[in-house]
Amino acid sequence: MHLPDPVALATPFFIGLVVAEMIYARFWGRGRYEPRDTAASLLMGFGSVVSGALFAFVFLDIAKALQPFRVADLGWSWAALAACFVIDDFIYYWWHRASHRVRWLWADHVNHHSSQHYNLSTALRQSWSGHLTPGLFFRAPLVLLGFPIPMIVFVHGLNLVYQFWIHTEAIGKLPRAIEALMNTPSHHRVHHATNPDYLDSNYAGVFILWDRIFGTFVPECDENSVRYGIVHNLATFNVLKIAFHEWIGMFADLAKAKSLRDAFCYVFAPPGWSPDGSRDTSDSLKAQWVSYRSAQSRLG
Amino acid sequence: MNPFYLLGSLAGVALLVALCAALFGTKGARIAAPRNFESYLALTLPGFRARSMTLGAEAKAALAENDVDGAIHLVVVCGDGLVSRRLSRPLQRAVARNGAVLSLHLSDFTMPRADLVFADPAAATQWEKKLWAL
Repeated sequence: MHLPDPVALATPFFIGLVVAEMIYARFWGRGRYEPRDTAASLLMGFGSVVSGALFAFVFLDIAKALQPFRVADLGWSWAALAACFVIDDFIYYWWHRASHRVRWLWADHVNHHSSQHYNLSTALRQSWSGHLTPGLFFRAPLVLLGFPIPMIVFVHGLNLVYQFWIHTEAIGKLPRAIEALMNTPSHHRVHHATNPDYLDSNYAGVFILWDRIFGTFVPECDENSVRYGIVHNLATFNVLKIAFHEWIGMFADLAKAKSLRDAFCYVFAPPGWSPDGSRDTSDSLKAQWVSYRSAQSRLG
Repeated sequence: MNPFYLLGSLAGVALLVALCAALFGTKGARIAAPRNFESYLALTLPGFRARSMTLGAEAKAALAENDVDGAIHLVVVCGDGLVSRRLSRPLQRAVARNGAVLSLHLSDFTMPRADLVFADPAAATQWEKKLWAL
């Protein structure tokens, strides 16, 4: 069965919503845009589309190679589609969590977080190098469970389309029932934050439920307003540098690794790992702030 | 891929960026006062207190010395935001002074160089010495 590409179909709406948000931010003040940042985000999105088209065969070939080993043939039904969507989102949570905790995957994913702005153009700031990471294998279970490959691709597209609208400051907190179950702009603002309290949290795609279940949920707090970007923000809007800076950093570290252990950790340990502990990881940053606040409260 | 689709997409990107520039302008940020980058560093560094600070004459870059550990931090404007780096010998490849202009050459892929224009050469020399001492 041939299914349409949800992202391609949604693209005109994406553009319309970006324009609407720009106008809203300009005249009502909720949200920020900066032309060079917007240009970088949109060009990253363009590059991602090109890269995706060129390298789509990588996932498809992997999926076709795994398909003979599937345990069932789940076929095409609304129930199968719904199940595939939910399981894909569950897998997305774990891929996304790994993408923040494993440097090899972070080298690809960091681009999406590299903007110091948070608006709908940020949603389009996507990586060019997903096919160079083992992230593709996260969806292998869907193939092995027996979902049709076009269904897997389709539901993943739906997942990505859902995530577009949550990249905004224009929408505050939604009703509690929605905030409890779904990924929302509030939850995802926290995910994009560099505030130490917010680092490495809210990995959800569609259902925030996974973060609540697996202990990675952090609510947005009005007293702790979000600062966006990455721990070491980029000082460039050059999309080539944005796309490859972390890859270059990782390979530079690998080149000077003094042992196999160091080389392994430069690739698989969390971003910021260093043999001598001279660099900060998210965990060390959080620990520094906890220690500082404890010291302050003892003094106070 | 259809080349007309690609060209059309790039044209669409250009139009959106032009709209953004028309709505929000293209003037980048400036660091209005030392307290602006001091408060920025205080948000990112636990307990940061500035022992000494200097703001470049063009308000696009600044240096601050942390009273807590003596580290020197560079803050530069990028678009409408700020980017900071803790300066260290591995990061700082070279420091060059030309009169009142201090140029920092960094091992940083996205920030290979930062220039600070001081009010006078004496201030630039003072900070040059501090940076060479790292």
